[in-house]
Amino acid sequence: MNDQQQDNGRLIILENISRFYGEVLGVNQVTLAIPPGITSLVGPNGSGKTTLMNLMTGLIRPSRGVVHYPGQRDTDPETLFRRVGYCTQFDSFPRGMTGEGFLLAYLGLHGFHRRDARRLADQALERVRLTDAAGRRIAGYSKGMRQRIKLAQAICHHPEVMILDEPLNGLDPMVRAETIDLFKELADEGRHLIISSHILHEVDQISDHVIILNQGYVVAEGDIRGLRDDIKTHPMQILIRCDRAAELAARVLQQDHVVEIKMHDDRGGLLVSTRDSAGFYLMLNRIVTEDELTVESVSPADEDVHAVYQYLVGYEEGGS
Amino acid sequence: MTVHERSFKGYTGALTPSWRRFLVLPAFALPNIFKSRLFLSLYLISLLPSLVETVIIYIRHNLRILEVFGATPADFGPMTGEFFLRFISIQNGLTFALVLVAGPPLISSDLVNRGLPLYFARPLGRLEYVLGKLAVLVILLSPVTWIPQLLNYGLQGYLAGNGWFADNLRIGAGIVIGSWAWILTVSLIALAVSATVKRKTMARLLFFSIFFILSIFGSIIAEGMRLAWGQVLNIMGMVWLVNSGLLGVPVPPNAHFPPAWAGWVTLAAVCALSLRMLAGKVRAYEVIKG
Repeated sequence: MNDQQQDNGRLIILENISRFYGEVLGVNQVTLAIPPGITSLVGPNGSGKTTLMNLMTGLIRPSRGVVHYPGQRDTDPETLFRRVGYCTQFDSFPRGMTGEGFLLAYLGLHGFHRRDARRLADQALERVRLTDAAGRRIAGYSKGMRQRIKLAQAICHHPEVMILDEPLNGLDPMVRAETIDLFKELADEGRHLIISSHILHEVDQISDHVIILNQGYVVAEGDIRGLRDDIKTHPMQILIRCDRAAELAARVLQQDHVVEIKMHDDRGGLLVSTRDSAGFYLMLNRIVTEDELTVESVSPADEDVHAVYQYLVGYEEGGS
Repeated sequence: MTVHERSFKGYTGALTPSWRRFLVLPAFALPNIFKSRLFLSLYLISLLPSLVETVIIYIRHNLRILEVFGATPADFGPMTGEFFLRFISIQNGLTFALVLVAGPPLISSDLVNRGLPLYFARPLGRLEYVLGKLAVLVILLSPVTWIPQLLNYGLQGYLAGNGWFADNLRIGAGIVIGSWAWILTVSLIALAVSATVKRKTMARLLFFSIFFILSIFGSIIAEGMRLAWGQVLNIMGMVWLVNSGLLGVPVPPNAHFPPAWAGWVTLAAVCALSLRMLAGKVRAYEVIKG
C-alpha cells in the first residue's frame, strides 16, 4: 500500500503549519489534509488564504510544521512543481506576449520539449476556449480572456493539484458557468482543486469541501453540511412551506429543541430554528403523517457557506 | 461526499535538462526587446565602432589602398592594446545606452504585475531566474562587445602574421576578460535597479545616475582634491582602469587613478552589492503589512 492510498487520496497534508513574515502572522497552527475534488478557501482579507496557497504551492516554506505531498519523497522542485499548477489572482503577463507564447514559455520552464509544449498548450487553450485568440497579444484580451489564459497556464502541464486564487473574478456569467463546469470536469478526473473565492454562493455551488480562515487560523474545515451541524451556538434554520402552517407551528413549538418559529406573512409556511436538525426532521415526518399535512417543500435555510461564514467569521466580507 | 476517481494521466515524456531551463527567459524576452525601434537603432549604432575598427585594420594591411590615399601603416599607429582599448571604451559607452533601454524593465515588469510567483511555481529557483534575466543582457551585449573585438583581434593577427598572435595573446585574453567584466557589472547593476525600482522611468533615471552622477563626484574628488581614490565612484573609469591593465596600456601619469587592483575590487564590490540587492528583492511572495 503506497502513501497516497494510505492517505485516502488526500494529496496535500499540512501538519501544524505556522508561517510568520517577521512579526506579521501569515497562518498559525494549521493542520489540514486536502481531499480530491474542489476545496474552497474562504476568509476575509488578510486571513491567510494566499499564504496557505503559497505554502501548498511550495513558494514559501513554513516557519514551523511540515507540508507533505504523499508519494513525494522530498521537496525536489522538479517533481513537486510538475504535480502543482498555480493561478495567481493578479494579471501577471510578460510584456508583448501572445496567449500561446505565454503558455509555451511556462511549459519551457517545466522542461517540456518544443513539440510536446505546443501540443499541451493547444490542449489547454481548447479547454479554456481560447484557441481562436491564441495568436493574439494578451494585452488586447478582455478581463475574462485574461482569467482564462491564467487558468490555462495552471492546467497546461497536467498537474494533479491546481491552486487557483480567485479564478472566477471578472468572468461574465456565461464564461463563469463554463469555467465552473471545467472545474467540475477536472475534479471528476480525480484532481485536487483548491480555489479561493469571496463569492460565497459560488463556493457553495462548486465545493466538495470548504476551509474557512480568519486571522491566520483555520476556523472550520469540512463539507458544508457537516460544518453547519457542528455550529451548536446557532440553531439550524429550516424552511417549511405547507398548508395549515399555524397548526404545524403549534405542534412543533412543543419540542424542547425548537427555539424559535417565524410564520410567513402569507401564512403558507414557517421558519423553524432548532438545536437538533436530525431530531426535527424525524418529528416533522411524524407530524405530517399523523395530521395529514400537505408539504410543498422543506429546506435548510442556513446550511450554506454564507451562513457558516457569517456565524464563524462574523461579518459579511469574504474578500481576497 | 462526492467520490472522485483518478482517471487522468500526467505527462510521462522526456524533459529538457534542468540546467538549461533558465535560457527560456531570454528566448521569450529577446524578440520583445527587438520590437522597440529605439533599441534596434541603438543596437545597429553599437555595431559601428567594430565595423570602423575592421575597416582600419584592413586598410592598414592593404598597401594598394594605402597607396591610393598616400598613407603608410605607421599613420595608423601601432597595433597595440591601446588601439583596441580605444574601441572597447567607445563600445562600452554605447552598450551602456543599450542596457539603459533594455535593462531596467527586465525585473521591474515582473514585480509590478506580481509575476514572480508564476515563475517560481515552476522548477525555476531565484538563482535561475536572475541567471535568465542576466542571460538576456549577456546575449544582447556579446555581439556588440567581445565577439566583434575578438574577430577584429583575429583579423589583425591574420593580416599581420609574423608571430603577432604569439606576441599579443594578452590582448585577446584582455578583450574577453575585460568585456565580460563590463557586461557583468553593467548588467547586474541594471538588474538590481530593476528589482528595486518598480517604475521603469525611475529605474532608468537611477541607473543613469549611478553611472553619471557618481562619476562626476568621483572626478571632482580625484581632480579637484587630487585624491585618486575618488575615482572608485566612477564605475566607467574603473572599467577603463581594468581594461587598460588587461591590455597592457599604461595609465597616463597626469591621470589621477588608483592602482589597477582597485578597479577589480570596485567592480567586484559593485557586483556583490547588486547580487545582495537582487537576493533581497527577487522573492516569490510579498508581505503586505497593515
